Amino acid sequence: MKTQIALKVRILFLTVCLVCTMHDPLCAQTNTITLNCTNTTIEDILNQIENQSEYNFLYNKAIVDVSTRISISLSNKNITQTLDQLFRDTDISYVILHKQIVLSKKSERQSQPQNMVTISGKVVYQNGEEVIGANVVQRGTGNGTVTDLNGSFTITVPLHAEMEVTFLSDPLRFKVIPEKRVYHIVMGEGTHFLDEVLIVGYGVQQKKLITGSTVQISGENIRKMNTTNVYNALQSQTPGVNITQQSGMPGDGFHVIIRGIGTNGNSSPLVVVDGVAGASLGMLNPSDIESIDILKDAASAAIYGSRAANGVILVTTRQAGSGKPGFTYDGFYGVQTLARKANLLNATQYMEIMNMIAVADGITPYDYSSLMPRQFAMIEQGEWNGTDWLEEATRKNAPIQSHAFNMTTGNETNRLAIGLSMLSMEGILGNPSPPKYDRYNFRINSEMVLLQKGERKIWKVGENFTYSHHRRNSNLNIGNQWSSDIRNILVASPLLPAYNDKGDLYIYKDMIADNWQVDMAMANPLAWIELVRRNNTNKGFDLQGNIYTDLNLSRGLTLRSSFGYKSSARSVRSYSPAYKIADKAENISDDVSQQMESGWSWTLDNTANYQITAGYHHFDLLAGQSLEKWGYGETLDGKNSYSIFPGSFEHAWLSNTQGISPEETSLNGQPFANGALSSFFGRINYDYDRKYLLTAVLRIDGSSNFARGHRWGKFPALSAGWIMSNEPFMESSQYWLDMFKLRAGWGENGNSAIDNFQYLATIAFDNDHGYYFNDDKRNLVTGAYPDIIANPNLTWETSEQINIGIDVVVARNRLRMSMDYYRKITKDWLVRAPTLTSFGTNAPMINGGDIRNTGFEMIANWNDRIRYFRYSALLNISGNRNKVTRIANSEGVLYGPENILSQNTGRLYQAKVGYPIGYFYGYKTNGIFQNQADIEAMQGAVLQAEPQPGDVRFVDRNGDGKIDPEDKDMIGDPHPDLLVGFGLDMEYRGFDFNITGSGAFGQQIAKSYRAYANMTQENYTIDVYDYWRGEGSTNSRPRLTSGRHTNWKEISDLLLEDGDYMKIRSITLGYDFTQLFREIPFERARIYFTVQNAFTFTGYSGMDPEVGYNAGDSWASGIDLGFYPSPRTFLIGCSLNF
Amino acid sequence: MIRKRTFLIIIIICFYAGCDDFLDTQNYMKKDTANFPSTQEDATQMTTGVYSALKSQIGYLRSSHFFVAEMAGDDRLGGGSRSNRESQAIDRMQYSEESQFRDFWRVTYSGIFRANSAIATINNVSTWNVEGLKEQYLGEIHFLRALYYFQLVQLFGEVPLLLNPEPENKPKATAHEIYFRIASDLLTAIDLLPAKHYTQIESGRATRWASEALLARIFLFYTGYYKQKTLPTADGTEITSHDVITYLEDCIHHSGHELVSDFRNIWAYSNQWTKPDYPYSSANDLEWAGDGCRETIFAIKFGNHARNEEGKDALGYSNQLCLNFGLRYPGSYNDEKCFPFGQGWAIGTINPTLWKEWLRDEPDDIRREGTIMSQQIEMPPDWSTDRTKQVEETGYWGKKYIPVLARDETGKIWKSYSCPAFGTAEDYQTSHTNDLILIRLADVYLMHSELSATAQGINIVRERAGLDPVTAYSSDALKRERRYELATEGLRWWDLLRWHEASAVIPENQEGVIIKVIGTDNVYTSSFASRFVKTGGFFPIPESQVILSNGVLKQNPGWLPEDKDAYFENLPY
Repeated sequence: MKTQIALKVRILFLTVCLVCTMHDPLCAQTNTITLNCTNTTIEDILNQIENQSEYNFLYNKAIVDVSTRISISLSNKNITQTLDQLFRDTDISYVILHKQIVLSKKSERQSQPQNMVTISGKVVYQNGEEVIGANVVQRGTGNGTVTDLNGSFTITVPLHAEMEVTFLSDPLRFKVIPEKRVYHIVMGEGTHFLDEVLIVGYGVQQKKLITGSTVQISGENIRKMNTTNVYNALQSQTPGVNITQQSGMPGDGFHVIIRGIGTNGNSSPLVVVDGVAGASLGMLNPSDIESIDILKDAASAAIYGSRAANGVILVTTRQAGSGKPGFTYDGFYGVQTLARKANLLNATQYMEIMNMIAVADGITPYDYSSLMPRQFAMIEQGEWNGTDWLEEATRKNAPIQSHAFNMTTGNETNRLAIGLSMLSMEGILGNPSPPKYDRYNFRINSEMVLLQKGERKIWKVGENFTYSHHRRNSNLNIGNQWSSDIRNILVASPLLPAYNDKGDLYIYKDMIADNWQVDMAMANPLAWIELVRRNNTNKGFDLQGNIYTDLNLSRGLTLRSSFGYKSSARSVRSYSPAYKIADKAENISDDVSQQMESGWSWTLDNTANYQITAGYHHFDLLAGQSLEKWGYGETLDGKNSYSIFPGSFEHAWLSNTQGISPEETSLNGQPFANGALSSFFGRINYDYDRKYLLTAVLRIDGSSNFARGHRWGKFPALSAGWIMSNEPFMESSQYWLDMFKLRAGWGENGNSAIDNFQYLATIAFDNDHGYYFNDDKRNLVTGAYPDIIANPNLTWETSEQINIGIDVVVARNRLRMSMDYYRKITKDWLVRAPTLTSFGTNAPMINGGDIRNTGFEMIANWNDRIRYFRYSALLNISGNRNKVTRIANSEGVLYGPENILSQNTGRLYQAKVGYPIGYFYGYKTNGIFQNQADIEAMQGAVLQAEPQPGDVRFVDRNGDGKIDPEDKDMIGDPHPDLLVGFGLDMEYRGFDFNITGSGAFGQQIAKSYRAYANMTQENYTIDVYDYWRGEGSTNSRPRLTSGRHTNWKEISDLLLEDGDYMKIRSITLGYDFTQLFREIPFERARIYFTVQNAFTFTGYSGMDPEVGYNAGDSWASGIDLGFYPSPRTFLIGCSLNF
Repeated sequence: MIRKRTFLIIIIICFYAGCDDFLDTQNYMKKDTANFPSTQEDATQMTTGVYSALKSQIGYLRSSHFFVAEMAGDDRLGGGSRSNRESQAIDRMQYSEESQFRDFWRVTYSGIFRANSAIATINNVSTWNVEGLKEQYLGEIHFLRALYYFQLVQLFGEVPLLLNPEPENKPKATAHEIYFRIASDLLTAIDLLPAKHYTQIESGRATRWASEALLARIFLFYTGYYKQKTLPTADGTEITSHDVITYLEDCIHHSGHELVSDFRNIWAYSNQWTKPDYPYSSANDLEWAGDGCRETIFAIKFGNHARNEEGKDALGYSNQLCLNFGLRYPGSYNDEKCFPFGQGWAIGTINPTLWKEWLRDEPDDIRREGTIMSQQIEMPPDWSTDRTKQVEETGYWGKKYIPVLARDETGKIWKSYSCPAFGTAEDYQTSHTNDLILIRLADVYLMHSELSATAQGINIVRERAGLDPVTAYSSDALKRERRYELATEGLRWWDLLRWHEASAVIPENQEGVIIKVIGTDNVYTSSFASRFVKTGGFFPIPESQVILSNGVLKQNPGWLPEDKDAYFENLPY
């Protein structure tokens, strides 16, 4: 309640401000000027002239002294007369350019000393266009001029003077040398680079002055990738950021890890969309993006304090500019195909392998002629060779299309941008009912100037909102070994027919009819998809955005308040008819289920920003405060049986079921987990003469996730930079070195992403811990039990990071490079470290682990133009090393689960001090026993009970003469050592060509496309034939046995593969028809062809080396149980601007 | 002007800053120890939470006390398919995974922790609406804590003894210390629980009678296995056999419990929904006495809301023994063919020796066919178990805990009689709701006989089975009676342990038995005898707990890493 009152106070305050400033008269603008001023500063007089006329003044206060007080009186004079009289007794000169009047200091020609020279020159852009109104100034003096309409200037300066050319705000420097009188100054492309502005959290900063490690990707660069998801487009452009698809199923998300996994909890970065923290980036359409800034080092991210430990992704949605209305359309249509198939056994191969294994295991071989008389005859006669399940499940040429309309319009005071887009795609796997995903987005961003004084926009209000409606039908399960539909497709026996003679899916009744008895529990995976998955729709409705107001109280001081709001709703409906697909794959009564949830959260940010310049000192100060509350919302779901319309998904609604029964009906509803964050923060950006840079940040956060007394955390950061190229001693290199900057930073960030109430000994009441008394089977008595051991001292997880980097720009701004080294130490992980189960309840959440990530990043970007041929190339490389340095239990181990690759297998991964988090754990092997002598040579150090030639030689790592679990150790690391991204862009007379790629190197993948240890009947991939066939045949795979044999049952490096890959993510060729038909009414009319996921270069044998499955642990990765691969997509698209 | 505004902003910021209240959140789904328990309803739920561990043990069945006793003893073989390595391993005193006993250990200690918490906080309840309810709950909680520790100490030999809710890394207490504590808890329970007729108490709750019977069972095991004369309690008093006999007589005479007239009516297969279509039941005019029947002194209760989920707590709302001991038939069969017995994992096939010796010893005993289903007698001639999967097939199946089907008037066969009877959701894995009886009156009679060395108890039990009385008490007669009366009820193994007969009797009754493995004739073999010598009949503490305790917990003998024979690799055939 208190907060709400506070909020009202705040709004009231803003209204008062509005009233305070409204009394300023706004004069009509005329072409003549009347002034009547006594002892008034020139600045105020200039303001009066601006108010009375349509002219604006451009000047630099450091050069032009406008604080002099004068008296002037004139009426109805034109601008030249006015200015002549005004500046008569001052040392100010002026030039009128269109509506702009550029002021400069009068040059002192009269008393030109001997060492003075008059130089002249021309300032142009890289494309040859003249730069009008650029300031050309002798550094550190008031001596300067402005380029004229031709971009030319003339100025008299001392010999060897250091000159600075500034347009808007990016200075370019040159030195006057004796033999040269005429200077040709080439500015960056449309001030593209040097004036680039980065979003740094609650503000912007010139890229040149940045002291941390951030990377910006422009909306243009995202859009030209033509991806359906923004993360997809970032994959090749962001060094140090590991982006992996969760799966290739349409609508599925991405895992994003910045600079290595730093926690065993949630390791996703904080996403801030238009100032709203915790927003979703996946729901945005790439066409909605203006820019994305990724804050990687602690010093940059510290402004987000307690949630910045995993880095911060700042997203700005597309903003309007002022100018005439612009419309764009971008659309594409394409088809998706399966890029790499797993090679599975066909029926004859399968029967051969199964029987060889049976013989090896000492089991009677299968008599397939009697187990499936009909199908066996067909195979014998060559009419059929089994079902190719992958082929049957593949949706050929799955369509994909996207359409995006964007409109921007505006003038000096009002600006508006609207975006409307839709996406529709089908999945490449999942026949007969492949998943279908549709998304509709609407975005509106506007800004209005409510009060303006001269150039100064005193009061602005604006908003950014995006709405997304998305739905997915026929959701496949992409989960563990039991429930993944893709895995079911891979493991299904080729002996099982997919369809019966009538063309219906082959299910249990067909097995009975055909006397098919190979394994009657083997369920047709397609039937599963058709009967269960198809009847499922999943809808989402997301709104996120903010409303803000800016008060520019005086030159340099800006107050900003922003209210952010996020709302989301989900609705899932599914139906499972009664069926019997196979023995035990049976649903006796049908199930109708509906689930809904909706909720919202809000954020209120208030910031004050003050910029001051005193001589060479520049300060940019920020102070702010932020409040956030989330968890408003609730869930409701219900499930019932006995639909009145059996078999019909369209009619499967809870109201269409036959009454409520305690046995079949379930109803659940609960509130969202709520929480709050309260923060105060400040930042100082300082630079001295654009040479020495310093940034200091402090954020203080209070989180509801901890007990009073442990809530508040302080997150400081300090970083500094030195633009060495601006130093006098670097003069000699200025012809090739445009910029050289050293950066270093240190900071602390936090992580508080855990469930609430971990600090309390909570008492749980749930249906899993009740009991039945009496003999009433219907009446479950609720039980209550303390469900965790409380830890009242629980507090932040902290990550401390140092970052050292250099930025280099050479070859006349053509080559830009950055290099960074970092060391990130995450301390006091929030972890539920295993405790003795004799404690009787769940382990407490503790601050119980440390991890270290060290790495480097390198990015190089070459941009050039050779007459009409413009091209650019991007290369980025990053490396990371991850090492757990503390886990606060006696063993120093955090267990991963068992039974991941298949039932009856041991722990596959774990976290342990001294090793990378989530490393693969098991036995190391050293080839195959080729003969009895090999076995005897081991002197009993073998794992098999009765070893035979052809068995695996497990390694006795600790050398104690026996092989036991003590010998298990690291057998692989799922984290890439090296990430590489590249891109090449070319443009020639309307043609454009673009290619991007990315790769990851050094990681291993644990692959198992079948549950080898318990499911004997599951199909194999063709590499099963590489088995040991006798002495010398192979040293890499053991003899043929069932998976239950020790050779395979134990987790060992036999199950791991190197996962190195390089993917060509996209290749695009486009042509802009406005180059050909100049009369068409478009600014741009580009048609393009794109191939996405065009090539994958890898030695990995699975379907896709980019594996997103992690067994449900965010700190694990690289587990391939057969999952939805990313499609290869062929697109044709068109972009229109008009 | 600016100053004024800045001032205002500062005021607003300060307003927020002082406001830790903004960060306080409410938990609408859970309570916490600051406000729980405060009402009688809280106490009821808290006590229910202690009971709940019983059913969770059944959810994680395959390392549970009852299941282990069945597998380790000589009544049953491991059975199942090649995947059911846990049962085959326990049968051989081995383990299939390091983690094998982890869940039972955890779940049982969760029951102990809840009991400890409840005992520590029950005085916080300010209002009791029902007179004596607090004492009753406390009595039940002490009974349950005693039962949980007894299960642990029987299974593992020695375990850490935690008696209050604070987490503590304790070494194993000696078996004696634990038994003393169990005895004290049971005396407390007997003291606190009312001497009410069993029908006046909700079935499923621990009673004074159950506490007395359990005390006798514990006394017999402790004095037998550890060769003691008396059972001391934690406060130093000693319980003698005379004391225990007195308790048992209290139970026999005052509880209201009686034997069910026909032995077979104790078991769910005799139910009325199955009876019309089950010739055995209709021919013998069986009539199920039902769950919570007059003979049952303490049982684990089940109900309709079992769910088969990854966390198996909710699975334990159904009698998982039935599923595990159910038939495994080929996929081409249906329930019609094996009616009235349903499908399951075919674990724990009945040892043919039991059938044969029973036939030899007591040819007229109705209990034999009431306990064991002989495939030859009860199944159609063309019926077989799934010969592509079944191992250690014997042709005999336990009938006391097995899925029991029922046919309704429409001809539909339900996966359990419980569906038509109680509206249980139909699922062959979770529909079985018959009580798992832990203590019944026949056992009390036999314990009384054993302690008092009189034949009266034996003869009461024999009379019910339609057998002639024995003329005089002998320990052989007592042992034989226990073997047949209580077969497949999770007691035989403990009896053999306390009589110090396990190492001889079990190999004698099991080794060399003719079995079928995936349809092929074979002979049962195991290295049980040598494993028993190494382990003394106790099972391993979960290895992860030994590691986590940082050396405080020591692994049991015979289960150390160097004991290569502890690890079950594969069936020997």
